[in-house]
Amino acid sequence: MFSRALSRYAFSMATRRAAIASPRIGMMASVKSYATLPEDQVSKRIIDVVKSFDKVNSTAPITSTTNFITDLGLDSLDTVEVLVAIEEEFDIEIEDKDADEIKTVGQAIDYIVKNPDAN
Amino acid sequence: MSAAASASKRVLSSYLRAFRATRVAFQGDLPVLTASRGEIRENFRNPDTSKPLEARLKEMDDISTFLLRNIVQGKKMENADGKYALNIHSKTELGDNDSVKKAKKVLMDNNGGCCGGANAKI
Repeated sequence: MFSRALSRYAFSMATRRAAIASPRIGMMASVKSYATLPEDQVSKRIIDVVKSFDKVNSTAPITSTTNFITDLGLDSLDTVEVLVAIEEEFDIEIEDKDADEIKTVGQAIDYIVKNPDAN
Repeated sequence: MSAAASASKRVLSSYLRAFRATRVAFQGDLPVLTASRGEIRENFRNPDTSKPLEARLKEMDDISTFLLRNIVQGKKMENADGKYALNIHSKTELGDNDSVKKAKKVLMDNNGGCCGGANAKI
């Protein structure tokens, strides 16, 4: 009993010391996991993904208000494919309930900017 | 939500799941990835309407599950005497040694073995 308490104490001391010894590593790790991508980069990458979709006319101007269905002439199945391409570009999975709500380029940008896992 | 809206939601979610499954199963293998997606696309665009929608969706979902769990990519390694590296990932279905032993014990208890068993009661 006593030795277990003692070893627990020793362990907590050791971890505390380790934490003190490497404050920079701890900070960098936490910064990385909460970072989101800058909006201008996200916007450019999403527009490139949309343009590269074969049913989209690559010369048409694409802005944040561009609607996949009404502006680009895609149907609902095509829209799913665009979302999959966006997932692949940023290495994430869009939640089903959110996927239903993404109907414009701007909404996709918003979603990615707010997603800390996007990279 | 109307029945039609709910059905279309289910179709879209099945389509999304199928596309994601191909990404996991065939990652880095562009020809197979493209071909499998073309097949899925064709299935949704020109469905076999002799089967009810429910059955078609179930079939597609089963295919997605199979792709995720039961396909493992193998890549021939260079200078490795013909060995292949297997891409077993977090969704790959794996049996473990315990479950294999258990199955064997059940067979033995039934006086079986894999091949009927010498002392099987008839």
